[in-house]
Amino acid sequence: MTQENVIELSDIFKDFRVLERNGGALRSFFRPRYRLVQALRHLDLHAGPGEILGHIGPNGAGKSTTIKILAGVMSPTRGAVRVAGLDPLRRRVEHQRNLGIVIGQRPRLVWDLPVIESFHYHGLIYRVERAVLKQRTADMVERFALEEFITQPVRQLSLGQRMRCDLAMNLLHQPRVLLLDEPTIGLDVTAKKAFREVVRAAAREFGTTVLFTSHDLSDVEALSDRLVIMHRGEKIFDGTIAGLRQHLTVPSLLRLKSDAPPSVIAAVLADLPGVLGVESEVVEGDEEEAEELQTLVRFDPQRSSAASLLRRLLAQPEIAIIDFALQEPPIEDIVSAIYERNGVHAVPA
Amino acid sequence: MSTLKAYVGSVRIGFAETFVYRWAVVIDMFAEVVLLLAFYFLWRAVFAAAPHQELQGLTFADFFAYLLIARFVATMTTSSGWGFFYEPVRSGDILLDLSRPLSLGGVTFCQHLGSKLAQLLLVAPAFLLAALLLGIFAGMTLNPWLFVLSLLIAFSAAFCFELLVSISAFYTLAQQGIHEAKALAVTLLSGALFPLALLPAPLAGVLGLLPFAHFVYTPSQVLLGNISGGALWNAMAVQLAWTLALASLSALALRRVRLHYDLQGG
Repeated sequence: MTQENVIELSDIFKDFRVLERNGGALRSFFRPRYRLVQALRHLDLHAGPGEILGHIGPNGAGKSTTIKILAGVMSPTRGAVRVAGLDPLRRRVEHQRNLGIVIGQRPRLVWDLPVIESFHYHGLIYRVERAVLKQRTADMVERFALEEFITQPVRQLSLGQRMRCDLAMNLLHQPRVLLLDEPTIGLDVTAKKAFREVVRAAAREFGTTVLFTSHDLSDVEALSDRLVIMHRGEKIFDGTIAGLRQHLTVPSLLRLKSDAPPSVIAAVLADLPGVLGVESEVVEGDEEEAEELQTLVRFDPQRSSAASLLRRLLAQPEIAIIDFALQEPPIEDIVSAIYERNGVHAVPA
Repeated sequence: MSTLKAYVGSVRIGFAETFVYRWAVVIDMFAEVVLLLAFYFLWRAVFAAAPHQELQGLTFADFFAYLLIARFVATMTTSSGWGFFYEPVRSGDILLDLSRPLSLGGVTFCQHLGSKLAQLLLVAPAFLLAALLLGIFAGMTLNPWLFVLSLLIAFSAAFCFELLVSISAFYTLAQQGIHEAKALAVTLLSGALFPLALLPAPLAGVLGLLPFAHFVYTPSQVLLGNISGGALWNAMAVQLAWTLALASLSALALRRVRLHYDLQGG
C-alpha cells in the first residue's frame, strides 16, 4: 500500500534575478543589469507522513529556497508543489496553518514576554482550542522540562532553552509538516539530544513530516530516515545513510597503537591490495600518560579487510601491536566523498 | 471568527510588549514635558512681542491649548524609529512573519494598535492632569466625540503612511535617510509643533492637501472646536479620503512585497 505523500515537489526550477553590481553604482542605477541565478533545477522531493528528511548541501545548494517554497513564501519558476494536498501559494493561509517552522537561533517567540504568552498567541493563530492548548502545553512542558522557565521572559533564557520552547510551540498545533532550518546550531550536547528526541516523537506520534537542514551531520545520522544531498540547485543524492555508505567507496580506517614507527608499518603493508595510505597522528595524553604516536591505516574495505591487515602486522616479530581499533568511515568523509565526486569544493553547509 | 481571535491576540501582544517598557514611555513623557516648558516660554515671548499680543487672531492661551492637544495627538498617531520591517528584514526573521497564516499588514496594524493603547494608558492621565492644572480648557467648548472619531481616522492614516514607508526596507536597508526625512516631514507638516494656521495662507492651504496635516492638525482642531459646520465635515472627509488612499497604496505595496521577496530570493 502506498501512502499519500505530504511533501510533493515535482521537477521544480527556481530562478532569481540578481542585480549585477560590477558596472559602477551610477550605471547600475540607471541601467540595471540582472543576472539569472538558477537556485533550483529539476528538484523532485517526495515525503510521506511521519518521514524525517535530512537536507544537506554546501552554501548556495538551494536548501533555503526549498524551505521557502515549502513555507509558501516563494513560488517555483517551474514545476508543481503540493504540501498536504494544498498549493502553498494559492491557498497560502490554509497551507501555512499546516506548517511548523523553526529556524536555528531565531525562535519565533515574543522576545520581551513570558514564553507562555507566545504559546497562547500561537494557539490563537493556529486555531487550537483553549482546552486542547492547555493540555498540549502541559504535555510539552513535561517533555521539554520547560516548567522552571515558561513564565520567564524569552530574553532571559539561554539559546538552548529558547530553541526548546520554539520547537515545543511549533508542535502545539500538531503540524502536518515541520520545517527545521539549522535547528541545533549553537546548542550543547544535552540540548541537541532533547531536541532530536522530541522531533522524533512528533514524527512518530502526530505523523508530522519533518524536513530539516543541518550543518551538523550527527543530527542527520541521529534523526533522519532519509538524506537528501543538494548541490547547485540539484539533488545529488536521495536515500538512506546505509545506502549512501554502500553507494560510495569511502576508505575505512584502522587505528593502531604500536612501538614501531609508522614508516616501518607502511613498509610492511605496502604490497597489500587496497591499502591507500599510512599516516601518523599524535594523540594527546592526559596528566599521567604522555602524548603518544598512533598510526592510521586507510584502506578500501572492498579490496581488503582489517583482518588481513592485522594478520600481516602480527606476523612481523619486530612490530608489537599494543592496541587497535577499526573505524567506520565517518559521515563527514562520506559526504565529502560525494561532494568531490560532484566537483564541489566547499565546506558542507 | 477564529481569525478575528488571532488579530485580537496580536493587539494584546502589542500592548504587552509596550507595557514591558512602561518606564521608557514614562521617560519619553518627561522629555515631552521639557519640550512643552521650552515652548511655553518661547512662544509666550513671541506672543508678548506681537501687536495686540495675537498672531493670526490667536492668543497665547489658544496657542498653548492647541499645542498640548497636538502633542497628545502626535503621540497617539505618529511613530518614531525605523519602521515595522527594518529589523525583521535585516535579521531574516521576516521569513517567519511571512509564513504566519495571517495577513502581514493585519498583524502589523493590530500590534501597532496594541502598542498605542498601552501608550494611551500611560500618557493620557498626564496630559489630562496638565490640562486641568493649567486650566487650559477653561471657557472652551470642546467637541470630544467627533474628536475621538477624527483621532481614530488619524491613527489609521498615520499607520498606513508608516507602513508604506516601512515597506521600503524590503528594497533597501539604507533606511536612515528615509526615516529621517519621514520624521522631519511628519513633525513639521502635521501641525505637531504649531497650528498650521500660523503659516501664510497659501502654504497652509497646500499643507491641508497633504496627508500629514490629517495625522495631527485636523483632530486637534476638531477637539478645540476651531473648525465647525461645513468646514469640519469637509476636513474629516479629506482625512478619510487620505486614509483610504494610503490604505489601498500600502495594501498594494504589501502584495508587491511578497512578489519581490519571491523574485529576489529574500
